[in-house]
Amino acid sequence: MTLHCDEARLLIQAEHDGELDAGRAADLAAHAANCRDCAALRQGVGALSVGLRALPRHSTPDALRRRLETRLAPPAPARRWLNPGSGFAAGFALAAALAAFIILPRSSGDLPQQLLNAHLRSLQAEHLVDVRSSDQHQVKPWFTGRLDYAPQVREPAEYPLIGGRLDVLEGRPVAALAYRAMRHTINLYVLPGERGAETLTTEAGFTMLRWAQDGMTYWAVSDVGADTLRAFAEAWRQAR
Amino acid sequence: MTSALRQQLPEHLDAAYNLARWLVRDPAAAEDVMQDAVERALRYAASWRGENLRAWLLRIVRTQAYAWLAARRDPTEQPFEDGLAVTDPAPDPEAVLVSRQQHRDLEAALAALPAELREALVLRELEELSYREIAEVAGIPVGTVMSRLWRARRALIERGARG
Repeated sequence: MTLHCDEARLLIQAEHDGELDAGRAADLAAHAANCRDCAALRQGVGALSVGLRALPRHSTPDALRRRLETRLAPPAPARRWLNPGSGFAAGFALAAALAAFIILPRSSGDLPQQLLNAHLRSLQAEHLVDVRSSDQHQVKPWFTGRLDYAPQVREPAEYPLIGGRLDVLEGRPVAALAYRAMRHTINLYVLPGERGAETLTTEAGFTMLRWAQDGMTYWAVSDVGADTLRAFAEAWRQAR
Repeated sequence: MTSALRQQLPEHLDAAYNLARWLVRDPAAAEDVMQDAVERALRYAASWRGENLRAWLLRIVRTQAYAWLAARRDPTEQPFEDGLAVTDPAPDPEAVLVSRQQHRDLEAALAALPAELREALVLRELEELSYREIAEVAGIPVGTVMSRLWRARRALIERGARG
């Protein structure tokens, strides 16, 4: 695809900041190879960064640190306990979910392309799940109130559930479930409405499997092979 | 949760102090901001639900720093409006170098940026926060983070080109 310089500039910045997905990075590399301005800007952003990182990072003066740490010391007698609910922060997670699709919005494209982009985005640091839990009974309620449909959340044998998040596909929020398959990640997108028979698509080394079930359309996306993805789908359908 | 917070907060003090220093640009004021921020953090400890504690603390520090700037009505602080100006011509990168004089120039140029641009760049380049974390700290959408970062960088690169 062809990039315009205006768009390339934001991508240059996102690339520098480690916020660019693999597909867009390839677009940018192709553009910068043929555009001197953008190639120069890429260097400029890098050089500025070197300069900025050489600036003083002010560390807390010792006296202030002592005062603050004294203030933060637990009031005696301290009770130590860990909150089992830590890690679940609905408000923050929702904000994060909204932010995740604001990053590098891409002109719509067809659904498989959107799925692939969403999958790649999810693999960036900290983007995989909004609610991290291997327990379907924690993940399913999390979607309540965030979607206008109720996705099923299952725990197929041999594919541990990592958690769930919101993604945006075709302009609407949808449920995405992340599963572990050996060392790979499988994203399972759950969309309302059935859209025809099972379909297998491969693109850029990724495999996408679609099936319909109980009035929902499921898309499994991963870098595993077609056989593994089919096995996952079968395990998912049989799980509860 | 409060005791976990008391325990974990000290490791984020440097990040918090660095942001305070860059925002208020004054060591004594930065200390006041930090004292107030820690008091606030303890008072509102219950509102921390185990999410990213650094971002949570930085957001409090930021609020205190802006309150201090507003109270002082710092005349060098220009009112700032977000725009979507990301289409300016590409600047000359040759100019951004790191000699000693340029190092001081860059520090001064960063300090002279509007606070909203300055904090975005400090959080990204010095504290290495992700776009999402910066959005969380500043209470703005990720798209706004990107446009502020871009404006900050463009201003500094162009300034280097002039100098």
